Amino acid sequence: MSCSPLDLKDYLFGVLTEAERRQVEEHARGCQACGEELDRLRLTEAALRSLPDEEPPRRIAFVSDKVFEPGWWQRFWQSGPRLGFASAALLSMAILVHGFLRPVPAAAPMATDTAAIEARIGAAVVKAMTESEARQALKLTQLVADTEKRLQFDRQADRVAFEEAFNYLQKKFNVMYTASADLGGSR
Amino acid sequence: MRHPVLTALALAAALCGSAAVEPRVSRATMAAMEKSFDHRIRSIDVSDPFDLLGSTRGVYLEGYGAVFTAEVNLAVGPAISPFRPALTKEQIAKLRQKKLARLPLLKRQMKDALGALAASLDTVPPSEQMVLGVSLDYFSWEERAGLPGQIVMQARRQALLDVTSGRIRDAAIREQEF
Repeated sequence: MSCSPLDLKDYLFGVLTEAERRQVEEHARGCQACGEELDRLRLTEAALRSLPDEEPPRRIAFVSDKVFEPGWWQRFWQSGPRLGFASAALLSMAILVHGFLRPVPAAAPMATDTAAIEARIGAAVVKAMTESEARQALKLTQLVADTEKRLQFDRQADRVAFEEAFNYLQKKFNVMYTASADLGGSR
Repeated sequence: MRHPVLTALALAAALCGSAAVEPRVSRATMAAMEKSFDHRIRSIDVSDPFDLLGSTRGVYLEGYGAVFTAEVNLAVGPAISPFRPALTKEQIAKLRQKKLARLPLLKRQMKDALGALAASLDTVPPSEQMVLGVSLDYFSWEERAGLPGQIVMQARRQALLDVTSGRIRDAAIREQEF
């Protein structure tokens, strides 16, 4: 507790005028308690000045800052009644648009001739089947003809090969027969 | 009496006309020449002999010379059979190469044989021809490019005797490929 006429902290932070400073200094010299208080304050100040200055981190912000204030969309999204109202409005609008843009349904035939339709379908099916069978028969005939031709060619080639081999063997046999006849002295 | 004499004369003339002329080259000599050429063909390559498919046959043509023919397969290769219905291109090409390589051997033997014929058939006049023809046998599936079907060599007997004795070169032998 200081008995000084002026605040010692003001003295220390240099906010007093020169006359007031002299007045505080004279009082501190005469008053032991105020002198000790002033020494403690000076010590504290010296200790504070010895610490390095540091910039406060930029990411630090307070909840009260505007950055954390919710946007209009968040406020809207978090508001149940508003969202319900908006949904109902959208649904109404969709119903209205659908009502205006829906194509007008064609007038349904008054009477359907089922028998005629069935007859037409039946005729179409029969026609398609006939055409398909004709195509298949043609393909089959062609395939059989090709196969027969190929077989005939193979048979002919086999026959030629057999004939050649037979002739060759016959010639060799003739030579051997002649040679054996010569050995027998028949010539 | 004139008739029996005339008849006897006519009979004698007929007998003289129908009598066989003594051949210039005997059949035995020709047969020996045939066998000699057969043996020559078989001996070209004992380990892989040429296939003799037609024994040598010789005839002497009066006024022309002696003609000999034979039928030979240059090389025995793989044959088509029920177990091997087709040959690969490589096998066919390999057989052709083998035959091409053996063709000069056959030609050499033919020239030598002609010389031997000329020397042996000494009853043939020197102005007459010595002919040797060899038909070469092939299967239909074979590749025959560059391979002849028949080789015929011929020369006058005198020329062949000169070649054999070394007096002239064997250019006197006429060689034809068909």
